[in-house]
Amino acid sequence: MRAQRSLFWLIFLSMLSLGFSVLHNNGALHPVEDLIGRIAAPVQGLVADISAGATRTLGDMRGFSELREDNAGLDTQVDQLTAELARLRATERENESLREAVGYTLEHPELDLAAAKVIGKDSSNLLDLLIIDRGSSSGLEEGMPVVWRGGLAGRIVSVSAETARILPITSSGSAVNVVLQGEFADADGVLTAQPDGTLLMSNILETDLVEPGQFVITSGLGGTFPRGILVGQIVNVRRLASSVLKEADVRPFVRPDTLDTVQVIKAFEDG
Amino acid sequence: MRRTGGLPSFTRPSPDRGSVLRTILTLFAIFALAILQTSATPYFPVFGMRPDLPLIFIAVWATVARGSRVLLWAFALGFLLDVVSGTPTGTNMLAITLAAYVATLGGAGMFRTNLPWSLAAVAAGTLVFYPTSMVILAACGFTILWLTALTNTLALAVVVNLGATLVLYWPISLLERLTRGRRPYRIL
Repeated sequence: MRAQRSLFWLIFLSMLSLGFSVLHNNGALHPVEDLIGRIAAPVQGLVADISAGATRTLGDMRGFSELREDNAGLDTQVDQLTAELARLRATERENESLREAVGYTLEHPELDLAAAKVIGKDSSNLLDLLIIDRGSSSGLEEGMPVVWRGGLAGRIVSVSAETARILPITSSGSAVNVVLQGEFADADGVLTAQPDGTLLMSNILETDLVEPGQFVITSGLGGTFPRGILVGQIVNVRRLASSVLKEADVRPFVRPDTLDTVQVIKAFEDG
Repeated sequence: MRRTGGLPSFTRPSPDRGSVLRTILTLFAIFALAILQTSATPYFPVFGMRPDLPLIFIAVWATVARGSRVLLWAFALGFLLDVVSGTPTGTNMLAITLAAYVATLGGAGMFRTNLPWSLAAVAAGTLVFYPTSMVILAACGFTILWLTALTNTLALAVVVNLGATLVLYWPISLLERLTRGRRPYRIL
């Protein structure tokens, strides 16, 4: 008898879930969702702050332990550091290029940016949605690009009054039209996520010159993202055996799992 | 005297004093769980995975509590989770309710309220929760990497959730006892 009653409740609640899903898609649930969101968002922000602080403290503790070990070996590393100097000079040159790319957003006043704090993530391990503490009341809308220090982080996929959800570029549902920055700017392609957290640049023509180390920026095609936002750096290029196309592994400039704050591009000029 | 499911039962002469408080306490608990899941667990991943606190809570609750009320709490928790986490409304509602139902299966018995049974319920609940969520998310237009999700993600989720259950079993059991109230004694 109790099993029958449980089964009845299961069927009833399952139907109700589907009903709620339909109501959500129709927008009928938005007032309720907005109300709960208004209550939950400040609490989420507080909990996120505490958690981030705890994570940093734990990291510092681990870092201190590692530091002591490092100190013991510092004497022997002095010679190695001298050799490293040469490599660092090369890195410095690379950083200058990177800074130029990062500065793109700052140098373009046509971008209307809104700062937001990351207050949570989606509940399951299946998606990587980020939740921010700005919503439609701050003028945010679905589809708006999201950046961090000038690098592309993702785009907004849903908005409530006080919160919004971001689909990061490293999430499985993301696709970004990109182009290579610099000398081989004619090489373009599509960036999608890979399970290991890196990005895959596909649809590169075999004749396009693509090399590890090149920076990848948004192409602006499709109008979803403004052109010129830094996305990542090529780390590996593969030639496909059965195709005239190539593909490349790209290390994203922004790691969404480490973000505390982001900037939403509320308006930009196409092209 | 009240009759439940045709079985003879005896009820303590207890009023509903405190039942509102117990309900508020449970509501507060599920709200806190939804917030913790979205804003705390992402900062403390285990093997790159977040333990599914709401799922663990409901699965353990289902093994230590009696009756169908756990399904109602699972439904409410799923709704809160959908709203605060940004997943399409209905995803967690259905997935957690189904997981809760699976956790309640197995029938009543004197061995129902022990840790091994709760671990089994959490494992079974996880195996139901993830595929259900994946189907709903895919139906809502999200891209799901099925092979990765069904092999790596699901397997790791079971392991991580089982580990978290070892820590959370006693607090959840305590909370269930605090919010249980008085109920009919059944002769079975």
